[in-house]
Amino acid sequence: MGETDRVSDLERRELLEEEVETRGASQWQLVWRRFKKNRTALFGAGILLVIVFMGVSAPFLTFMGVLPDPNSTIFLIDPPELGGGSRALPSIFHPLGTDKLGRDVLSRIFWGAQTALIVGIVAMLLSTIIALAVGGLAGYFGGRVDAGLMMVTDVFLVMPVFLIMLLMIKILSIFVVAGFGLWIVITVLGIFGWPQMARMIRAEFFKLKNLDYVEAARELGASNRRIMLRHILPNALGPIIVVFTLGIAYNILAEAGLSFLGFGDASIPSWGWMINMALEIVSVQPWLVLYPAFMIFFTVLAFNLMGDGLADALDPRLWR
Amino acid sequence: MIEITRLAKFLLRRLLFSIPVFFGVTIITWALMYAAGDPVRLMLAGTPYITQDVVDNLRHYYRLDRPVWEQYFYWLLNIFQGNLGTSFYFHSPVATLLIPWTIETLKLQLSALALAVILAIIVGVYSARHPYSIADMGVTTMALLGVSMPIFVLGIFGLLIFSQSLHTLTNGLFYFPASGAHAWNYRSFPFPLFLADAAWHMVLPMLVLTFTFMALYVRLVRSGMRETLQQDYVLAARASGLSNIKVVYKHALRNALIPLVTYIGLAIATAFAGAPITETVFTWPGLGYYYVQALNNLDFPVIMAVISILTVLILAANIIVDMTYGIVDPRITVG
Repeated sequence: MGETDRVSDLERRELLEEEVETRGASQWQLVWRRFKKNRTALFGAGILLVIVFMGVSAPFLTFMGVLPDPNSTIFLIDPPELGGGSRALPSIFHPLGTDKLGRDVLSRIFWGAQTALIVGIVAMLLSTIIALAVGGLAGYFGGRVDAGLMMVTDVFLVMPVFLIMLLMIKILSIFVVAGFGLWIVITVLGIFGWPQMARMIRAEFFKLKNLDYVEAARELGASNRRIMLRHILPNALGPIIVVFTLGIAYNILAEAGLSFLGFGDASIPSWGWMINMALEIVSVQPWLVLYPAFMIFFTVLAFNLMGDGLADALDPRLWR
Repeated sequence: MIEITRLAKFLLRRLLFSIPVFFGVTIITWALMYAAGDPVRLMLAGTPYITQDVVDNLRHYYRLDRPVWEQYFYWLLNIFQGNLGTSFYFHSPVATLLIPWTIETLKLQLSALALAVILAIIVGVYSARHPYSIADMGVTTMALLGVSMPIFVLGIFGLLIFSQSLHTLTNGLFYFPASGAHAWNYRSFPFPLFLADAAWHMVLPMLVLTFTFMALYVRLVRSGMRETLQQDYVLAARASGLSNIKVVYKHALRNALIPLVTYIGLAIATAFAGAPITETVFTWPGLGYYYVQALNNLDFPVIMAVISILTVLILAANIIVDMTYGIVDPRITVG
């Protein structure tokens, strides 16, 4: 028994212990363990934490008077010594300056985090519900149901979706009372965001429904609904979470794009709108574009990093 | 001969799928615009002293006194005769307006797409052959940044740096134009100058678009190539003494490109639909730019025409992409 053998023996025992421990852990604990090891994914989670904090704290900070009201243009009448006025330079009172209407930029950045997160997550929830219904039914039942539903999905995939979203927002905003503009954007993004996810869910359901355990459940007399919700859905959850996370990133980008073109809700602080408003003066005050642009960038980056990390963590075949 | 009939059958089937898609999209668009209200009232907005007679005549002229399905039917009938209606805003036939817009959009989007695919293959393959090297890390980081950056932000800062700052730095000697696809007096240019001028205007928007497209494609090529390089047949090719270049580009590349080709079919729809943002940033006189203008002017014939023509372009592009499947992967035969 040489020195080296003892070392390798120890290593082997450690590995063995890890193996035993691994078997005891649930699937989600495993996923978390793999996710933790991924440094870039954790970086994304860290950025996201900051942005969630900004979004959640914005109303409290405004209420406590730390941040000015993001919609208040009252600083127009502030004398320039107090940092008021239209497009004022950064000062102690307005650390990032004010925008065209004299509103505090820092406050709008904080509130914009809330808007971006709400748009991204709520629209994606709506998309997920539609995708689950379409993809789940198509994959589970197959045959004519599948053919019909996939036909609809294919139509949605080849549409010039962004153009139709623009048109829908334009038309819907004729009918909807001011102040609900954001909900139009959310609804429209949700209605058009489901096809790719539906395809993925269909493939998962198709794969899982033929497995033995589903067959066993069926023989034991489980209803179709129970099989789909209790037996298949939990096992298809991994890829759904990944697509969900990446979809949020896409929605935030899309909302920014819509606002940039002037098709968002002007009454709510949104990073896209801030860029839209600052664009006419970008050659003189580029920072008014820079702040919201970097917020959009970091938020989308955070969701992308987390999506990639989750994909690695949830799919053991890719695990290295 | 069999090949040709199979191809014809495939084309026929794809066309049969395309027709309901076209109807679906146009009917949705039509219904949305019908919900927006009476276009005659819009056309006459701000025009004083209009009698009810004139309004009625106009409504009759545009067949607005007919049921909505009949209006749609007339629109379809007119389309097949090459009549896309008259723009409310430009007061000229939409068909003649549409031709230059479509050319400008296709020119920009397709050249950016082609450049992005070529560069993505070169960069992605290099990255996959040297995994976790400094160059690979740089490529993957840039790709991630490109995916996360809104294209209008890239565009704005591209304009600030390469148009405005460059203009200031070189005292106006060398810079890239900030808007438009041609110089204002391009019609008087001789042909070589016309080409050079068009290319000069295209550089900045094309590079920004290429970067955004590339970010997506590089990741696909890289992961596809890494997966392929680990397969047994690649090892066999290496073991039989083939040169590295031959193994990678002749044996592995085709298989590694399958995910990219699959994706491009979808990407074309996204690219064309994304035209409004890119073209608005660069004031590029294409379909997307005028579509946003038409929406703001509620110019319904133009809206309808742009959506229809983009749908047709996307469907055509999809058929072409599906046909290239067979070239990339002989196991998949079309038809």
